[in-house]
Amino acid sequence: MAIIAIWWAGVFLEVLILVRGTRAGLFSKYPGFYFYLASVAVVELSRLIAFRQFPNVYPLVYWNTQFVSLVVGCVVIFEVYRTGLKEFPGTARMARNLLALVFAFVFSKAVLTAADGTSWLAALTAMKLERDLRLVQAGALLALVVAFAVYKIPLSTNLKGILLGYGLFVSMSVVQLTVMVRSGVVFQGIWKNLRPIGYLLMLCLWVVALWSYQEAPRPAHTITLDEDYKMLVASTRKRFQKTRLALGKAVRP
Amino acid sequence: MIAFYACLGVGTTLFVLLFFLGAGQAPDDGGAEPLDLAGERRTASCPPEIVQRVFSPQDSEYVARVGTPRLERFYLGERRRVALGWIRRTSTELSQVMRAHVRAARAKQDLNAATEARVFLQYLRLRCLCGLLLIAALVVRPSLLQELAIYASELSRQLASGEQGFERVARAVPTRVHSGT
Repeated sequence: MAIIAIWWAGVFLEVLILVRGTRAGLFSKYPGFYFYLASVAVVELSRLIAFRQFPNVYPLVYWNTQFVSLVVGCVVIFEVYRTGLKEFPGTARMARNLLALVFAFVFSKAVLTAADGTSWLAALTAMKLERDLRLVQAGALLALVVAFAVYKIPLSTNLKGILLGYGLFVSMSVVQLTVMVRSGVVFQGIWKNLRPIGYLLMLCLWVVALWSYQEAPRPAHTITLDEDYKMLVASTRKRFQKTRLALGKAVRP
Repeated sequence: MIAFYACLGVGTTLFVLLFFLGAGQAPDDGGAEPLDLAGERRTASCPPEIVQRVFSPQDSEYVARVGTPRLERFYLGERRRVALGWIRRTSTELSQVMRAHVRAARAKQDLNAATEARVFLQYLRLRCLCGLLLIAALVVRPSLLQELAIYASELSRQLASGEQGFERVARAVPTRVHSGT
């Protein structure tokens, strides 16, 4: 009964975020994210119907729609990348190359896993596949978070909320699926309810972060000391080199 | 087994990083820091000859001649404190150089991942060296403190001259300062 309540609460929150997105004009700002959320809402409803009306086909519906959600989830990561690094073309290019590499790995891994087993829809195989895909998503998110942190990229409350919500959900999923795959437990014990609760928390975070449109804070001033990137790097490395020489003397008396 | 821990590690690392990101993003201080870092350093660092005077063997010999344990302890404590202060400042200056680089580099069109990784590794190596020096300053024999101090002073001086060079380069190239809005 509790799981059904969580389920309905999830659908309600998804619809609420979509409605608020329409009213606050966030659809045009984050189209990828809202596309993901709309598809997840449809998936949740179809699962709910299958669970209540056709329990025999529910596992089939679950794993198929889960794969769709996973692939569409990649759109959220691209959205974070696209919006977050809009003002920083060099950093964006660097992150884009990295993400392209990561996503090439996603699909090759998916194809390999699909071709590998005879029981493509078997719960454990599907769970392994999902863990692998979530792992790659986690890798992509890690790369983005590190880029944001290292280059001090200012994020709007909306984008930060999207990143935090989805990132926390992905990280929790990776840990949970890893433990489940290792123990061979499928939909049992504490894990049965943990994931829906985690998903619900993510939705709550999104409701708060996406209630209204927030402009991304921009750096007050962008100071460009060197027009040429190579010149900038040379200058920085020269200063480091000087320090290294002095420190080298110190550690070799 | 390795894959199991690797998966857990990735998930946990992402969770922790996001937690810190959510806890509060460091304010973007691009442009807030004055460009005249070298001037600040010039006032903070001492010329090598002054450092030599401060850490001259005469002082050490005098303290040894007096033979008062309390004075010796005080002398050693003070010298160690100064050495540690210089190393810490060097470390801080390294961070400032890196921050300035990151702020300038992030807006560049031709940002290169490999180059950035090299710069970052160089920075990490230097921070590690500073850490080792800091430990050495804590455990080193008193007679070596003088050498350590002179090295620290020399290091600070070189950083300052490096900063001047950087500024000269900046002045040579037209500097663009614009507001983000």
